[in-house]
Amino acid sequence: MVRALKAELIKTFGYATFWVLILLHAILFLLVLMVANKATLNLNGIETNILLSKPYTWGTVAWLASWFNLILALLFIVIGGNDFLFGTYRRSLLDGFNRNQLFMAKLLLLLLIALYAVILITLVALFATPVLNSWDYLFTGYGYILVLFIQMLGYFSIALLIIVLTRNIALTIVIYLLYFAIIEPMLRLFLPDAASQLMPVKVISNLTPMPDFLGIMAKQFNINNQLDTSTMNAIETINNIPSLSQNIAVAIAYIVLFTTLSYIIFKRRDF
Amino acid sequence: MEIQKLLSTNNLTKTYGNTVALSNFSIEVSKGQVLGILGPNGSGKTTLLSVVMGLRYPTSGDFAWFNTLPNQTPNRKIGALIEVPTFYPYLSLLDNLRISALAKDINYNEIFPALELAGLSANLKAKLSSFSLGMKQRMAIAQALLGNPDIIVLDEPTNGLDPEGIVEVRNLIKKLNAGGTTIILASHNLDEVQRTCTHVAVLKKGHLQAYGSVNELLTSAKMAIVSIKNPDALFEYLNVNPDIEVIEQQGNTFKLMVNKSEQQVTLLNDFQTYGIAISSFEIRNLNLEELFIKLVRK
Repeated sequence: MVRALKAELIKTFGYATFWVLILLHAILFLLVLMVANKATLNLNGIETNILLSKPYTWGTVAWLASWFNLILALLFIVIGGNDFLFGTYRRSLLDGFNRNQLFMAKLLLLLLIALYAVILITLVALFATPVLNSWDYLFTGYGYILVLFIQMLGYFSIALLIIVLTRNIALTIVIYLLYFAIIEPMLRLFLPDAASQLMPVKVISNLTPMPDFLGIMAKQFNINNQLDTSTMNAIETINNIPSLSQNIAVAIAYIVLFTTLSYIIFKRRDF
Repeated sequence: MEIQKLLSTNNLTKTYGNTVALSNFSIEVSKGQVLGILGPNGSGKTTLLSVVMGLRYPTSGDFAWFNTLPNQTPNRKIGALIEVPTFYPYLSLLDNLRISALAKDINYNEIFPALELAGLSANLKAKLSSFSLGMKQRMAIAQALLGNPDIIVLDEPTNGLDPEGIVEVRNLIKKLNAGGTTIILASHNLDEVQRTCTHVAVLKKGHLQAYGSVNELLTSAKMAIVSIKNPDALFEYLNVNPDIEVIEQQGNTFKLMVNKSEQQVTLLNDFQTYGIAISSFEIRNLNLEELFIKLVRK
C-alpha cells in the first residue's frame, strides 16, 4: 500500500496542472477571505463587519471555502482520470500492483487532498481573519471546518464514481457539472420536499450552509433586547435547513456508497 | 530431470458480448522456451496475453504462473509489454521507471541495468513526451526487463522500431534467452518469430491451430513445387487426395502442401500413376510463412 501511495505521489507532484490548481485554490481562497475581512453589512443605516466576527468565524470560513471545492474536485478528476487517459493502469497492473492497491492509492490521494485543503484553510483563516486577535472563542465552531472536510470527501466521491464509470476526464467534468447544476436541481423539482432534501448534492452542499447573517446581526444588535421575541423567532426560522447532524450522517452514507460502488466497478473492470 | 512449467493455461476462454476472442486455450510454457504466439490481426494474441497478465478477467478456464494462483504470483518474476507502451508523458524516463520499480517492489538501483540493456542510459532526465516512438518502445522494454525477471512477455516488441532497433531487440531476446530467461513473444512478423522462437502457437479467431516446437511444426508437412504440362490430370489427382492442398498456382507451376508423410514419399510415383506429366519437381520443408498460411487459411 505504501508503495502504491509513493507511486501516486510521484505522478501527482510531477504534474504541472496539480500545482496550478492547488495554487489557484489557495490564492482565490486567500483573496476572498481578505475581501470578507474588509466587508461590512448595512442594516437600517448601521454599518458593521460581522462576516468573520467571533464566535461565528469558522462557520463563515467553511462556507466561503466551500465555494472553491469545485476547483479541488476538478483537480481530483484530472489526477484520478490521468491513469485512464494515459492507459497507465495497464502498466501498473503489468508491473505488479493489483487493483486493490491502485484503488486504495487513489482513495488515499483523495483523503490527502481534502486534508491538505483543511490545513490550508485553517492556517489562512488563522492569519487572515480576526480569530487570532484574542484567544476567546479561538476554536469555537471549528467543527464547521471538519464538516467541510466531509463535504470535500462527498464531492470527491461523486467525482471518483463518474471517473471510474466513464474513464474519461472531459466527460467526467461535463457530467459532474451537469449533475450539480442541472440534473439534480431538476430532479428535486419533481420530488417531495423531504426527499429532495436527501439528494446527494443537496445533502453535501447543505453541510456548509450560508451563515445566518441576519440572525447574527440581530443578536449583535439585540444586546439591549430592543427586538421583541416574535421578531427574533422569525429571524431564526428564515434559514430552514435540516439539522447538521442528520446531513452529516446522510453525507457519510453517500460517501461510503459512492466509494464502494467505485471500488466494485474498478475491481471488476478489464484494462 | 523435471521440466519446470512457468505458465500453464487450462481451457482459457474470453468473450466480449457475443464475440469469442479466445476459446479453450490450453498450453504449457516451460523454462527456457521462446514461445512465439502467431496469428492474424484479431486472432486473440493480445487478449491471451492480457488475460494471463491479469489485465482482463477470463470468462472461463484458468491459468497459473510458476504453479501458483494468479494473485500469488511474484510480479518481479514476470516482465511484460502488452500492446502500445503506456507511460506518464509529463514525467521523466527515470520517474516513470521509479513507478514501475515500486510496483515490482524492487530496489531503485535495479532500474539502471534495465536501462542499459534497452539502450536508454543517456536519456534519464528526458520527459517521455519528447521521446520518439522507437524510444518509447525501448522504454517499455526496459520496464519489462526491470528486476531481471524469469519470464518476459512481449506483444509486438518491434513495433515502431527502425531496422537497426529491430535487430537489437531480436539480439536482446536471444541474449536473454541464452541467459535462461523464458520469453513469450506475440507477433505477426513471421520472420522475427522464425529467427527467435523455439516454439510456436498459432491462433486463428481465438482458437489454437497448432502448438509445438518450430522444428516439429515445420517438418510436419512438405512443400512440393511442381511444373505440370497437363494440369487437368493434377486436379483429378487432387480430388481423390484432399490432404494435398494447392497453396499457390502460377500458370502451370503449383505449390502443393503435402501433409501426410507417406504421401511425401510416394508423391512422384502417384503422379506417374495418374499420368501427370512433370517438367520440374522440388520437395522441401515448409518455412514459417507457409505453415502460417496453411494454418490460418483452413
